[in-house]
Amino acid sequence: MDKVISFLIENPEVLSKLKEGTVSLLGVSAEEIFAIIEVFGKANDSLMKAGYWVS
Amino acid sequence: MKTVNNDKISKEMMKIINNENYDEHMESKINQYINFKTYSGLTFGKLAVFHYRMYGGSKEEIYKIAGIVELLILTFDIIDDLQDQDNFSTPWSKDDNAITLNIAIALFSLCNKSISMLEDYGYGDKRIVDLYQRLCMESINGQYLDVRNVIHTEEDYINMVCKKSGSLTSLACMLGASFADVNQAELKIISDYSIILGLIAQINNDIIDIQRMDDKNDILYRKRTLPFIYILGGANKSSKEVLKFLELDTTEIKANLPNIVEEIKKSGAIEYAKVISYINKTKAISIINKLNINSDSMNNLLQFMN
Repeated sequence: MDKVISFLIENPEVLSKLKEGTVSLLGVSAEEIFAIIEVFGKANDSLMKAGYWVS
Repeated sequence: MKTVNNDKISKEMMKIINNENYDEHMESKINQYINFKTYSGLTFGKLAVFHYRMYGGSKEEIYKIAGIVELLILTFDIIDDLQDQDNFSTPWSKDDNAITLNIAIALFSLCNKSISMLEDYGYGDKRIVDLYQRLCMESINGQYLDVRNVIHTEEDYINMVCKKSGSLTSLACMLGASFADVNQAELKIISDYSIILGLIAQINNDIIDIQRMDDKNDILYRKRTLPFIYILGGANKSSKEVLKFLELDTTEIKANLPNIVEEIKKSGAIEYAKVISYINKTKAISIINKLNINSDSMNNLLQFMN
């Protein structure tokens, strides 16, 4: 996964194509591609901080 | 579902301490630590109570279990800070290390005693003690891997964190559910997702901590966190820039922290860790959906993921 992310950082145009479904990434599952699209689509999402979850 | 009462967990922690014959100074210190912990949030105790209620448990005695769980978490937090020497904001970090170590030993011994005495009081059974001992040992093994700083790959990291943090999350969830007499099949499902819950929380901590602009930034201690492992791969220009900064001494690294954090952000390390967190969150949700619980409990449980 680290190599995939590094590749996408250096080739951001591939990310758009990935979202459109016009390219695929070898060895990366559909679930992983979905996660990549979600993460790159939300630059400042909130995170679950250990020890600070609240009910 | 009723709200889990933070104060009740805190009071149980105090009660467990105050029933012991501790030195007056030590007892006062422990009470101070418990107050700090309560203020920071008693998530693990809440998870125990929550999992108990998920299976119809309604006895107030669950707060005793939650109190023991939180005392154990406090113990492991203290030991972690003593070993890492990277957290200066907690009351135990401000005390002499010899004093703090003594308190950690006293607390761990008390947690073990309290768990083993539950059965004598008619709460729980041997299964709870076995679970507690197994998961404590697992966490200690994970901590050992962490302090040795021998984590090189994503796989090493996930293995270490599942042991160190995942097993403690699992301990809280499984003890709570066991106290409600849950069956083995459900317990196995709880075990599977709770370990992942601990992993996600740790990755998210790492993401926050590597972007800090103060003395707590993990990069200053070269801690082998997930984003740091990505940087070590040196796969792009920004990662290589960060590695160059890391050749400097700690004072110079501190002085250059804004530039280092900027390069870390450009490198993709944050996105990488977020993707791994997201993949695991999806995995945990699919396991949670296998639980045989009502929709109210299911929705509440899924809220822990957000």
